[in-house]
Amino acid sequence: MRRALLVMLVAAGSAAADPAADAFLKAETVTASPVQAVPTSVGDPQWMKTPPVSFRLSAQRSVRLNDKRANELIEQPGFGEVRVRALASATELGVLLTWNDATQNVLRPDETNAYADSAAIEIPNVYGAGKRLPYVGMGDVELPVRLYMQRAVAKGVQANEYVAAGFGSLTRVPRVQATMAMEYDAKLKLWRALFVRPITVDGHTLTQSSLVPMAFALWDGARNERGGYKQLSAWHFVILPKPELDVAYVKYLSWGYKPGDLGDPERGRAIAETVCIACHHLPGKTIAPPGVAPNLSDIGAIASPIYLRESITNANGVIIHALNPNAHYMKTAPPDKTGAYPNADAFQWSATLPDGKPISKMPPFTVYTPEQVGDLVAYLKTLDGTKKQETKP
Amino acid sequence: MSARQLAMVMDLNKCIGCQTCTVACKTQWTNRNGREYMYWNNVETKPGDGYPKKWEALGGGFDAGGNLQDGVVPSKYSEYGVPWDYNQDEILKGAELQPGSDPTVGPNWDEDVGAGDFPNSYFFYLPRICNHCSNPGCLAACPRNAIFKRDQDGIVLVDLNRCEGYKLCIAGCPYKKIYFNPKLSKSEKCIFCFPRIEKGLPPACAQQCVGRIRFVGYLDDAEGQVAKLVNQYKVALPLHPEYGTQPNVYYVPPMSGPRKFDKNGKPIEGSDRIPLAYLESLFGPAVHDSLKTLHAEMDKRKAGKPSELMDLLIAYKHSDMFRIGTKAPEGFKLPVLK
Repeated sequence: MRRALLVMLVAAGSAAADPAADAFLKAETVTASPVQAVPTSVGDPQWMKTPPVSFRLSAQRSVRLNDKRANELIEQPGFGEVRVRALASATELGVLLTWNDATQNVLRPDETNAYADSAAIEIPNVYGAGKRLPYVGMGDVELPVRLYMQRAVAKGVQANEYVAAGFGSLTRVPRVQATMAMEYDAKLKLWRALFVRPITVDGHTLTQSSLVPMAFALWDGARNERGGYKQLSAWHFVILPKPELDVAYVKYLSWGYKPGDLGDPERGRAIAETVCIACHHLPGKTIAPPGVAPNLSDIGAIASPIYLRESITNANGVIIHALNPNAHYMKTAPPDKTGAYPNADAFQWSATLPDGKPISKMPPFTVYTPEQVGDLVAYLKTLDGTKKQETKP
Repeated sequence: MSARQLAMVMDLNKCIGCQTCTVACKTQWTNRNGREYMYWNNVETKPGDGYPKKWEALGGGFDAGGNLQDGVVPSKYSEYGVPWDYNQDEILKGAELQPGSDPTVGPNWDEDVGAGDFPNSYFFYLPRICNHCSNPGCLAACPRNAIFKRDQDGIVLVDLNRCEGYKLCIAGCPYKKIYFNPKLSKSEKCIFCFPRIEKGLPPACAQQCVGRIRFVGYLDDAEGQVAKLVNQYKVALPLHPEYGTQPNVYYVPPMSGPRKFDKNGKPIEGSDRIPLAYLESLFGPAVHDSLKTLHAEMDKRKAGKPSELMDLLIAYKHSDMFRIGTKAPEGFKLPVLK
C-alpha cells in the first residue's frame, strides 16, 4: 500500500524523487485501507487482515507530577511501542491499537489506589498544508486538539471524548460520537483498543488533508499511570484513501528526514548545553529549577523535527501554559490577608501582555542561523529515553 | 487566593473523643455513593497513627521554598480500612464474638492507645476536617484546574465536572483530607458544609459538637471569637504549619492534665504529662507562647480576676461562637467570578 502511495506521489509530480518525503512517509505514516464499513468490533477479521505499523512510545517526562510511587515506577521500562492499524470508509475512520501488556488492570470500584489500563488518540482541530503541528501533549493555546480516550473497567470501557488546548485544559465533550472498545487477550497478554469516529464531528472534519495527524497514548495501570503519567507517541499520520496525497503538507512535515537537513548533533549539543539549560533540563544537565520549563530529556521521542524547529525560532507561536501554575509559590513575597502566598512567576511558562495576548516566557531564538537551528534539532532528536517493557508476545 | 477566609478553631482541651462530629458529618455527607469509607471529619488519638494510617508520613505539602512535594495515594485496604461485620447471629448459639474479616486498620484503630508508661501515659483527641488552606496542596497538585477556593469564604471545593480522578490532589494534600471516590472515579472532600454556611449555619460537625469545642467565623471579623483566638490572643494554632499550606483550621493546644507521678506515686510539681516537644512537633514553636498565655489567663481567673479569653473558651453561646452571617468589612467587594 505504501509503495502504491509513493507511486501516487510520483504521479503527483512535484514531490517526485524527494528523499525527505520518502523517508517521512516510511517512518511516520500508517495507511488506512478502504472498506465499505469500518468494523466496530475489536475481533473483526477485517482488522487482522490489515497490516500494522509500529510506533515508538515514550514515558511522559516533559512535566513532572507529584505521585511518589508513580515517579518511582516511571523509571522502569514501559510498553516501548504500539501497533496501529487503520481502516476508512466514506463516512468513518477507524484505528485499532495493539500493545503487549503482562498485566490486565481495570478501574476498581472498591480501591482508592488502583489504576486502569487505558488508551487514547488525539487529532488536531486544524491541520493540513500551511498549518503548524500542535504541541503533541494535548495541543497548545493556538492549536487545540480533539481526543478520544477509553479506560478499562471490569466489563467494557469508560469512553470519553475531549477537546484540549494544552496542559490542564482537557474538557469533556458532552456527547461521545465515536465508538470505542478495548479487549484484553489473556493468552497473548495483549490489549486491543478500537477507535471509530465519523469523518465529520461537530464541524471537525478529517478530510482537511489526506494526512490526518494522530498521536497515541497508553496508560499502564500496573505503573500507576493515569493523566500525565502516560506513554505517548510523537505525531504520526493516517493516510486516507481519498483525496490524493497532500504533497504540500508532506513537504512541510518531512523537513528533517533527509540526511543533511538536520546538521551536526554535537554542535547542537554545545549550544543546548550553554543556552537551553538555563531553563530546560537535558540529560545530565539539570541546573535549572525543575518545572521552570519543559524537561527536554526525552523530547526527541515525542517531537517532530519541524515542530522543534518552530519552537526554537517562533516560541510565541507555540505557547503552552505550565501544567500547574500553583505548584510553586513565592515564599519571599508577603502573603495576602488570608495568609496565601502568590504563585512564583518563574514557574509560569507564559505571561499575558497588556492587550490580553499570551506571550511565551521563551524568547524566539532568531539569532541562530538555519544551520545552527538544524544542529540544535539534530541534537534534540537524539534525546530519546524510550525503554521497552520485556513481555513475551 | 480568596477575598475572605472562613476558619474554624477547635479547643482540644474540651474534646472528649465522642465522635458526634464524625457521625454528624457521616450522616450528612458520606454514608452513600462510594463515600462509605471516607471520614471527612474524623477524631483521632494523639500520639497515634491517625486516619488514614500514618498520614503524617505520606508526603505532600510544600517545602520551605514553596515547592509542592511528592506524596503517596493511600490504599483503602492498608491505610483507610474497610468496614466489617460481626457474627451477631452465631453468638446467640454460643459462639464467641468475631469480626467477619480480619481487619488490620480502621478509621479509629488506635483509639486511646497514646504513649508513655503507666502511670505517666498520656493521649489527647485531635478532630480533623479539611483545613481549607490558603495555599492548598490539593489545588496545587491538580493538573486539571478542578479544585478552587471560593472567593467569598475561601472554602476549597472540587469541580466534579472537571475532575478526572487522577488522585494527584490526594498525593498533594499533606493532611490526606481529600479522598478518592472509587465508585464515581472522582475526588471528594469536606465542603465546610457550604450549603449550611450559605444559610448562616455552622458546619454540622461544629453544630453538633457536644463539648462545644468548635468556633466558626471569618478571620477578618475582628470582633468574632475565631479572630480573637487566632489573631488577638494567638492561642489557636494551625496543625503542622511546616507543611506550608497555610491551614485555616486552628487548634487550642492541650494543656497538660495531671502532673506526672514519681516512683512513690507523688505528683512531680511543674512536670508536663504531654511532652512539650511532642506538641511542638504538631503545632510548631508557637505552641509555647500559646500554652503560656492559656496558663496565665487561667491563673488570672482562678484568682478571681476577669479573663476574656477564659470566658470565650467556656463557649457560652452558639451565637457568639458561630459568626457566619457577619457582614464583610467596610469596602469589601466580592470579585465577579470568571
